[in-house]
Amino acid sequence: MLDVRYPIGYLFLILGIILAGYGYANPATFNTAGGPLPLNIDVPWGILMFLFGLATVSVSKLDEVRALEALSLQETIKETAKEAEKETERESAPEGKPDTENNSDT
Amino acid sequence: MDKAGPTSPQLIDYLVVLVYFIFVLGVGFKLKKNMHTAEDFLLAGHGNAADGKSKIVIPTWVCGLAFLSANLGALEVMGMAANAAQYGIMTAHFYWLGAIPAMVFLAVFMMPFYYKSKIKSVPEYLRKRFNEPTRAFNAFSFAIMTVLMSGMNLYAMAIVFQMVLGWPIHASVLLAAVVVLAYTITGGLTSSIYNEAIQFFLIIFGLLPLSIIGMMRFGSWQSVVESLNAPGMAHLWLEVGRAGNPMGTDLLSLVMGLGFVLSFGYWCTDFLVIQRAMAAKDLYGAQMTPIVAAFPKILFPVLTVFPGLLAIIAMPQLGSNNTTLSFNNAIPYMMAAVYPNGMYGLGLTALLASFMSGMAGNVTAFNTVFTYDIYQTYFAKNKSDAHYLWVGRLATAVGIVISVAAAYLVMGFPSIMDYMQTVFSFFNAPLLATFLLGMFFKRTSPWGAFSGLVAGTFGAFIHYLLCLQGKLHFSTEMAGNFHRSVVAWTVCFVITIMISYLTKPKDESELAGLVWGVKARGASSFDSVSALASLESKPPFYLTPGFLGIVLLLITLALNLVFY
Repeated sequence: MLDVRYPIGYLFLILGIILAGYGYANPATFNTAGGPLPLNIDVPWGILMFLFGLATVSVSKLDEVRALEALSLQETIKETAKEAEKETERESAPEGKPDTENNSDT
Repeated sequence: MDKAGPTSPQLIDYLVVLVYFIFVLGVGFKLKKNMHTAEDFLLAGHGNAADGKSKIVIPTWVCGLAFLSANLGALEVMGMAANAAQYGIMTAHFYWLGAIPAMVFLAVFMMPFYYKSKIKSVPEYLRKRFNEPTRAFNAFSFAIMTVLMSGMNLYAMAIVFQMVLGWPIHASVLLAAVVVLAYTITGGLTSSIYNEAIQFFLIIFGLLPLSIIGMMRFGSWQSVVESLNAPGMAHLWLEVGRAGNPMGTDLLSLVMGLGFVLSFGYWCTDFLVIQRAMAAKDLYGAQMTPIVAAFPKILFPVLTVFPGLLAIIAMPQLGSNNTTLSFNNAIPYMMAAVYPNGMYGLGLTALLASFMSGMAGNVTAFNTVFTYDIYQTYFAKNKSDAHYLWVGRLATAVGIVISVAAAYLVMGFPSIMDYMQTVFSFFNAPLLATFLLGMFFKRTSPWGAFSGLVAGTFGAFIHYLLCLQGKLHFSTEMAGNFHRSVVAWTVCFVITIMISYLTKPKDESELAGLVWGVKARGASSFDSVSALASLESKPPFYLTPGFLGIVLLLITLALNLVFY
């Protein structure tokens, strides 16, 4: 099922780029209590949105990789267990075989 | 405030809105393939993933954000900012007095009953606990309320489109209705919940800069307080019961009316919010949903109340006869005044997101109650699951069509926002008394509950008529609402108890899991086994709903003291 962090992350990545890019191309100033600032709110807010989107997608990817790792670890454990089982079967087989052969001889 | 004139929309703003629409629709279509059964569509699986019946697993944090977002509709964003411009910071009472305590109560005490009884809707609980008529009364009144609320969100959205973008109101209503229809009819409740999570972040990012820029403009909270024309506008409790109180309320109606009846009535019994918590993967997730939602909720006055205060400072004639701008225009006005293009598009998107989440929330609650509590109960019992899935989808479409009609109804009544809050106090206030008695008092009989519910609603109508005739007078509409809710609750509470003692209660064996302290016969040994099993998976104490609830209440108390 869809991980909701992907649409959230990608939406903010795209909107962040649009906003910061537009703000960078159209500089403006705005007044604050301390005086006018040569800053367009689009740029810092766009960057913040981009970083939020990036973090959300990254965390989601990380979880996906972890889930895959856990899955492959489980499979490796299963395979090792199967091999170990086969090994024990093989080890026990040569001991049993001569006995049966002996029995059949008798 | 910081620019030469108000911002008008440019291509970049339309682009931001367009990108958002693409994502919203994309999520709906992506989730469509997961909708196999009626429960998948209407209840988002309802925790059936554990036994393999459903593939839908929604994390607790997503349910929590959806729980919050579904309430972030027109009333919350535009309405709270409008109230702040009109009544000042006392509007924060709707959060710190009127939401957090009720959300904690829901999580700790009421959610276990809702979740464990495996009900599909709140009206279904009323049927199990009481009888069919009580469920029917609640199901029909709730269905009517949801489509009216949904229509109001649609109307608010169209107003913003018209005011800001200059679009004709009919085209705006239709566009918004088509978008919400497209993503709810494809992905059902899951799509609505997913989009509500996306909308939550958009609302934060779209509205927060208003407060940040406002704070930078004023420099400190003290300067904001000094700029407000009345001391009551900047205090929560100082002027309560005095002439300087802009809300016109006294202590009793504020604490009992808003702090208890209205807030507990909404947060603890309204299916729109309960449905999101019940979509969680297990009981712990369901209990944690309101808790996860309550933490950001505490800070929401920053997004809604504060911009409303800034609006009345920037434009003192807002809401007066000297301008066409009503209090409802506080947020759109501030956005046009403060935001440059680009950011303006984001702000508009946040407003659209809030109205869409409010509307989708109501529509997805409506389709569930309609399908299970009205259609399945009274029209077509024992049909196949595919049939109910189809009816659920049809109910979604019908709900949206009725919402469009309701939006036009709202247009005909300019003061419908006040009336809607009044209607809210009619139905939710008595319902709270029914639920409290039903869950915590086993002697409450089915006919006692039904009579109480009808009498409480009727009492609220009589109170309202007396207000209209001028026989009861309140200085503001809000004070009247608080008072009416207390009356409706008390009438329901008293009549329910009286009739319960005159009629036969349900047998205890039928109340197991539905009433506090009533267990199924022979359940003790089973309970101890399951308690032992659950002990191993118990979260640490600092992650329990009880502990986090206490933390929330302490923070809320501190905020009340700071802004006293």
